[in-house]
Amino acid sequence: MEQTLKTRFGQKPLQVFQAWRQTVAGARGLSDSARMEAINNFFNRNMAFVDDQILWGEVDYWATPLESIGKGGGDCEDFAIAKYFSLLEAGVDNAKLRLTYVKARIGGPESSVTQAHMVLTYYATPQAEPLVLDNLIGEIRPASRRPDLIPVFSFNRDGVYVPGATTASVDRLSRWKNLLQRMQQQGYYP
Amino acid sequence: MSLLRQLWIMVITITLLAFAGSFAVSMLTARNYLEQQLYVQSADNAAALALSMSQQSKDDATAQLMVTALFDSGHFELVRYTDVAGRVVVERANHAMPEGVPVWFMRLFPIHVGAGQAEVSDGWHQAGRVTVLAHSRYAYLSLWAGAFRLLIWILAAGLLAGIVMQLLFRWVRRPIVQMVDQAEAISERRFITITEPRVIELRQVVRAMNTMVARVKTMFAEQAARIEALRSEANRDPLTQLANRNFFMGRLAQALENEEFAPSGCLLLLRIRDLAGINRRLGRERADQFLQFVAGKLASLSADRHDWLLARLNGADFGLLAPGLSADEAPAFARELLENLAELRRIEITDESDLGTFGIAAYRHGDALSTVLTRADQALAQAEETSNAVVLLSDSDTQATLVAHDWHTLLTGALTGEDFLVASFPVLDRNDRLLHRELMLRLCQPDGRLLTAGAFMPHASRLGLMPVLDLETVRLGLVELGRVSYPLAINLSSTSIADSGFVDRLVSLLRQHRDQAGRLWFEVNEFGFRDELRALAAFGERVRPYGCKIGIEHFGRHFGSIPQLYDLQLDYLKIDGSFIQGIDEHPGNQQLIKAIVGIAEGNDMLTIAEGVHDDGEWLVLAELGVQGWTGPAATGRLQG
Repeated sequence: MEQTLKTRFGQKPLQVFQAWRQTVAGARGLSDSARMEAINNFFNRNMAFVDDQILWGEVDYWATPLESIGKGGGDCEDFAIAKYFSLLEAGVDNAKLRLTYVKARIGGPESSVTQAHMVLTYYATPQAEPLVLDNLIGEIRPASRRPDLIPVFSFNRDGVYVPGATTASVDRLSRWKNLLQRMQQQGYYP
Repeated sequence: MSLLRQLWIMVITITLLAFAGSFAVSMLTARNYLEQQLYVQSADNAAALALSMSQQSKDDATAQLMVTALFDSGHFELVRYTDVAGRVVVERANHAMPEGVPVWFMRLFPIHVGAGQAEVSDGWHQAGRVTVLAHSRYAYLSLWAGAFRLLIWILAAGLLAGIVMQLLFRWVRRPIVQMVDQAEAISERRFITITEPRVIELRQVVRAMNTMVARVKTMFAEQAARIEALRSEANRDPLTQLANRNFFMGRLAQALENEEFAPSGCLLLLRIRDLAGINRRLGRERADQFLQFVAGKLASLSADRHDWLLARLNGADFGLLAPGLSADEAPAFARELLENLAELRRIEITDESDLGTFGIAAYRHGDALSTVLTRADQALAQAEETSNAVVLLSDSDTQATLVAHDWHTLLTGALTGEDFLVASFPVLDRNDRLLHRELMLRLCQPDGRLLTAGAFMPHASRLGLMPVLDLETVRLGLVELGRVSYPLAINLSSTSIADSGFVDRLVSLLRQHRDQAGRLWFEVNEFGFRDELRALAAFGERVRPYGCKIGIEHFGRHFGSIPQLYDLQLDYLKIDGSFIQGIDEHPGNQQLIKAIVGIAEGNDMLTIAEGVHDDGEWLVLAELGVQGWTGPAATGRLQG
């Protein structure tokens, strides 16, 4: 993993990378809320929000956590993805996490300017109100305290990842699947 | 298993394996692809359904409506919506199996479709989960149809490959079959060459085999030439090329005891008068030339009697052994010879007016060799003393056997009256065990006296009765074989063997006596056989299936080229008694016998010595590698 980082991004991001590994390792012994606090803060502090078009030259590129760290930035789904996998690695149950497409009102709940956005949500129980991990607002808040976000659709690794299914060309059609494959190639696959 | 069959099996196996392999690979690839496609279909539809359900109200009616709508409009095995607690809210399923696809095929290539799942949310809250499973029915149908098409193609390709193989094999087969024939022929000691095939690998083999055959032929020809050289050296007079004294004595001994020879005959001795004087007056060279002319003249005058033997006994003495010549005719014949020789003086080959004198001894079977020789010497001495050109001496009752017969009546009468008998003489192997007995035909005359073969065979031959007599001998031999356990050898004349009617009747006789036929050894006189090479080969092919053996008797009796033994597939050779007589004191003939044994062993033939007179001779013969013996000594050994 470290080797991949060095060959692709050089020595510069190495420090952040090591900090990330330490944060994840440290979060293992904590409670779910403490884990989220640590991971959320780490990424919000160490990653800059940069548009995909500038960073990757594509309209919408889903970067792997390693790529985001290598670049030191990413857009909303890159934040969500990096946090999602880091939390999984720190020991949070996959069933409690969802990547959620939301409609964000820029400038507060009353604003009429909306934007497609992605956040990571945490469900303590299936019926519970989720906690929202976002890069727009650094603080973790329950969903009811985020009136600026309107949820549209959520998903996680289940239902996409099929154990034992071999890679074939058709799988590349799925953006999600493509991401998982790249992660595997880069040696990071919690 | 033959090479060709093995090749066939190999080709079929390889084809089957190749096709089975390609079939399995293509089936598995197709199935894998179909599974992927079905999974993608399941996952995509699950995501789409979850997305649209997330936007709708979550009451049961709406959920049911949406699930049903998706299920009814697509090809799904299962569409299910479960709530957060995992309870099934709506489920639509169709587990129908595809029609027209055999169950064993679905068992052999099962299609496992991965379920597509997606989360349905209600605002910030989780609402449930949809599971979609695309139906594998169409995949099975497509896989089955593909398999069927592949099978048709495989069969067509297999058939085509088979046809091509068949053509290829036919092309390669012919030279291989020819090579096998050649190899078999070689193992049967027939040496044939075949044309070189176009297949390069085979061509080299065939070339090698042909070269080998040519070499073997050369080798045999060399061996034959060597035998011929040895025979000439040991048994011919170098000056006149007539038989020498030793050979002549061997033949005389046979003529006195062997039933095949006429029971009586005459021994004529010619002494050239004053050879020393001719030598002195005309010189050595002229004298030699004179002797050669005498020899040539005598030879040409007795040439039509092939059972007679002319020899130069020593310096001035010539001998003529004339079996069957009666004492009455002999003096006249001798005078005729002298008159013919007188021609030599006319053309000035010699200056001697009185060329020579004849001493004639009449003999009959049972006379001792020394008695006959002494009688002839006495006759010659008398002739020289009395200045009589020809003197004949004979035992008083010699004439008695030479009664003139109406041979045709006698022989045909004997055939119908079954007056023929057989006598037999033993042939032993190296351990003195009986190899076989040689049959001799005898005729019991109406007055009860016996006639031996030598007495009536020349007349039968003249009357064209040989095939009939030979057949009678075979008939009697088969009767004899029914009583005894050892094999019997029967002499056949070359006339009979060349007579297709005779061979047909012989084969039908053999067929009737299949059990006995395997113990029959047929032998042909070498002299007759030389003219009938092809007839003998054909004869061999006819009788060999019955287990009969074929051989040559009196091998080497007549000077002339040695026949091509390797072409004839003979089983045995009986070496003429002329070489056997006194073999223990004759190194030249020992060498000759050794060479004959060598060539016979090379051709897988048994060698048997004829006319062995004493144990000393047999000891030497056994030493030389001869495997069997016959003659007075052998008969004595068996009785003693």
